[in-house]
Amino acid sequence: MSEANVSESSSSTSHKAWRLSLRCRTVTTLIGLMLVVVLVGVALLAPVLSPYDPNAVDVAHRLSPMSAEHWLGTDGLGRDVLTRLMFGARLSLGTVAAILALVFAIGLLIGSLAGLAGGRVDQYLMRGADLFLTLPTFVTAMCLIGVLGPGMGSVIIAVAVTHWAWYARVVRVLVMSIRERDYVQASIMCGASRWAVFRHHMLPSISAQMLILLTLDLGHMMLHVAALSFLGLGVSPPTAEWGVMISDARELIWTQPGLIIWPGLAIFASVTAFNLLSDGVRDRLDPALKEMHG
Amino acid sequence: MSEAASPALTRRRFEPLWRLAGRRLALIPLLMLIVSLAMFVLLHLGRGDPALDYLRLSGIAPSEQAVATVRHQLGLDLPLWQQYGQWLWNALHLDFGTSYITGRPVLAELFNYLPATLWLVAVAFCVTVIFSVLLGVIAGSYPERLPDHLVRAVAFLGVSLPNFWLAFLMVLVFSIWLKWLPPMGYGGPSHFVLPAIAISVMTISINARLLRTSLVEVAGQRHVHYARLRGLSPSRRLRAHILPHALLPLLTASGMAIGELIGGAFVIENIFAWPGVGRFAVEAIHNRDFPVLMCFTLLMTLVYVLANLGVDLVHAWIDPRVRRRTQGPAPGGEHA
Repeated sequence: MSEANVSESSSSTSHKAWRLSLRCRTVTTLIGLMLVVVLVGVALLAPVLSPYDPNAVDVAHRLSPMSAEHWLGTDGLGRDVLTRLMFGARLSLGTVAAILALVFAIGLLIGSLAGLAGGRVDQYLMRGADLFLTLPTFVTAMCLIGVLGPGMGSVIIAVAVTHWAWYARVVRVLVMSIRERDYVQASIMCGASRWAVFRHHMLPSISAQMLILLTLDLGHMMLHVAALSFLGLGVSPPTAEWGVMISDARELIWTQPGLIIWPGLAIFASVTAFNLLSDGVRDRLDPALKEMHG
Repeated sequence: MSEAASPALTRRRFEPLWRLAGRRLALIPLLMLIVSLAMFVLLHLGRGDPALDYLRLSGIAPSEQAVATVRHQLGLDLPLWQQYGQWLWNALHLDFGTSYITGRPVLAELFNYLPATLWLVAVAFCVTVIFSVLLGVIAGSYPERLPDHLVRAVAFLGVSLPNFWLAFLMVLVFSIWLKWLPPMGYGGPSHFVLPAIAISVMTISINARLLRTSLVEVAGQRHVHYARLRGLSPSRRLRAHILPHALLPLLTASGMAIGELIGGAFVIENIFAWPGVGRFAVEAIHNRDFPVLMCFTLLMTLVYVLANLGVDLVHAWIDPRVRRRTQGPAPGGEHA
């Protein structure tokens, strides 16, 4: 978005406001980025940072309050809450990463197939994608887990299957627009095979754009995972997971509200971080996205 | 009908509402058939043996003979297509089998739980519509000014809040500390407040943002500038010239909102001991209760499709352009 364009279309006061809001956006995006970095750091270093085992039961010290030994206290089985939160970050990020990889693969496969094949294949694939776009994500994910049986693997598959459609559409549009470029046409004329054209001219730029776009849904996906785990459809009990921690502490809400507040805050903070990041990405890409769709 | 329509634009170019409804209703059985077939095949190809599950849930030792008996009893020794045929035949007579857990007919069981969920979703939907319009109009009327920034900040937090955590926080504040509202249970209006808010915060945030964007967009169009030139007051412009157009995207989005609200209800029911379908379904997923899972999926498909049909019909009724048969220029100066 060029500055001349903006000052032309708006008065100087609103231009100033716009500049200000843009600067705010950059700041909030940076905050989001920092939070994500902290989260990833904590997840990677969890065993180093904490002297405790997240699953070590210590009934003698159950429900101890915040102290120098246990910064956030201990839970109903005497496990250190902060340690469990840090190991929970590992699981949450790992799950989201797995979902991303799966969405990336499905979106790339179906989108490029539709874009390259065109015609009837394209029509059917995109009609399928439209169907998935209208399905209510959470209920569908629940039904899929019903089919696959509870477990973290099922959660990953279910969330990925309910979120690939939009990316497939984007990839399809990208493939179609790149195919019309001169250099691609030139390489086709030089006798390059379809696969070679796709691999050398389309895959790199599509992958890069998709990785950026994938940040848009991260927060949403994380909420899904947390809610499904909260229902007990994800990991089995001893594993430290934020949603499960809240579910475990529900009986203690009258006496130990902290056990519910901390894990929830962890979910909230990480989703906020991803959403701040994605808002920044959306602002940067908005003109590009609009161009792509029409 | 629009005044801008030329005399040539007769009523026949618009599909009548009853035909639209009939066309969509006719597709529902086909959809149900596809969904049921997919579910059936996936459930039976998936891991686990229904006969073993059945025995485990009824507390019978899985001896070889018992497994064989149950397998025959449940018709699991037949080929898959025959099993599906049998299931379909029974389902057409509204017999969805008996639950492995409770041993009672599945349909009766689900209909027993359904009203509580539907009430909750309906109340949450009303809350969503009222608050998203309110917040959206406030934000859209003062773009890039304080009210707009406040609403956008609130909406941003709203999409980042896990609804089940919000429910616990509200229970903590309003039930345990302030003792204003009941912490759980299903009953009078006061029982609806916390669950309905917990479910609808996400959809309110999404729809308020949507309405804000749409208001700002419509406010920049030519017919609105013309209304200003004619000297219409801001409130009149909003009511008569901006809102009717700006609300249309919200109408489409409310179909999606219903799906989100149902999903939210399933989670929140667990916290408030709400006697709804969600808790029953989660139980069935844990225990791999096949008949319940089949019936639950179909019922949810039906509820969701009917709700969306309702939304689409309202949309088509308000805005006849969506049921135009032939493509032509949109009546009214829509293009900015």
